[in-house]
Amino acid sequence: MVSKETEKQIDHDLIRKVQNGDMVAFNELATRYKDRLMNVITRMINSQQEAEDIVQETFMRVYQHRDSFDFQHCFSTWIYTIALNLARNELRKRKRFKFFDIFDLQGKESEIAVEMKLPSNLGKAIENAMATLPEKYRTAFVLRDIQELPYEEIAKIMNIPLGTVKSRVNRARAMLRERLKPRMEEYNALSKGTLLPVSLL
Amino acid sequence: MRCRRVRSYLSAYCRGELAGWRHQAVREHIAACPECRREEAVFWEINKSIGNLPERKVSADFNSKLLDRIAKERFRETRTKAYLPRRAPIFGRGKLIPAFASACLVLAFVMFGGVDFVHSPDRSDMYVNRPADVELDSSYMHVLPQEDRQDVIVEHQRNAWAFKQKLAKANRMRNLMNRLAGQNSFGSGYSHSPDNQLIPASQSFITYRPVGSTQTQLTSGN
Repeated sequence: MVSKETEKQIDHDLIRKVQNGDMVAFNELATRYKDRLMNVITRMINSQQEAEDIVQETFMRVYQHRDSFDFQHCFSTWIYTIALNLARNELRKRKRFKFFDIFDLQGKESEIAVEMKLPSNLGKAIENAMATLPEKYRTAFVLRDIQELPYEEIAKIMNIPLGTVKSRVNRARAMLRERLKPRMEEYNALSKGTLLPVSLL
Repeated sequence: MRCRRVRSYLSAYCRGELAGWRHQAVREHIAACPECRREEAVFWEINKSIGNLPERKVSADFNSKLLDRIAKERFRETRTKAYLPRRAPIFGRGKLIPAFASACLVLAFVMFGGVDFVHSPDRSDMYVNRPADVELDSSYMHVLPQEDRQDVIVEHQRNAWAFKQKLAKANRMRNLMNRLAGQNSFGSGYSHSPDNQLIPASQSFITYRPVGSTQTQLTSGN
């Protein structure tokens, strides 16, 4: 596992080479960050294709403004900030986002039961529940619990105090828990070995 | 610690983000409270599912598409107005005035007969490169009073060469002024020929004849 300082140094070396016109270094930077950004942006805007467009646009912005990068900051902070700003602009442009309301499943117990038997479907339920979170809580939650970035870096990316970051993350977890509560109760009941009617299989 | 407060710490507790006395207090409460223990299990399950979420990745040709777009961007950068070098003017503002002044001088030189003056047979080498013992043309004597002629001859004999140069120069200037004015200069513009005939000054000038030549000759100015 590469330490944070080493990662920072590698990024700075690469961006310095990019400033000198080295496209191999730029390709290396893209390889290092493309999947991380894709993971975050997809959770933010809930669309694979648009997320890829945003990630590509992020790297274009990095290239166009490569000379303005301040070496006193982390490159990861910079690129995440650009990506999240673009995602935010996309959400504002949409003015709405699609989400799958888990409460629509109420009354469809058979389907719930089948889903709950497969752990991966709980993951799908979590993704859908995440999409219902307000933007500022969702951003903090994705950066912390999915990307596992440190609180200090999240504070710099979102440009908010450290205490606010912790508060938002905590609040997002609580909201997620509330949205998943009915499903979790079903899941717990199934995990205790309760037999299902044949018609539900 | 009460259940409500403990549940507010549960998510951080399950993530290992609680430390110190809070961590201890929550652990003790959970051990004693079945409701809070069930909540803790839910949070553990959610965290486990989040950890198992599939990582979203870009398409396989993402890098090639990105580099292609970068190449187009670089090409566009080279075509911007700021990048293209300014065409060097043939005559810049700093060179225009001297060029104009030079053109005016050349034009004046040509208009006022400078070319003819330069190439005039009047300005021949014989005025400059003559040996020191060349005598004056006696036609010059007709313009001087009688009593001064001998003095002039003596002076000429003494400083023959320097005076000859001065005379040559004077002759050249007179011809130039004749051409500028379009008429004869030096007063009336007329002078006397050796036989005391009044002739236009432009038609008479002093020439030098080789030593030994006795014949007085009036040479035309043209």
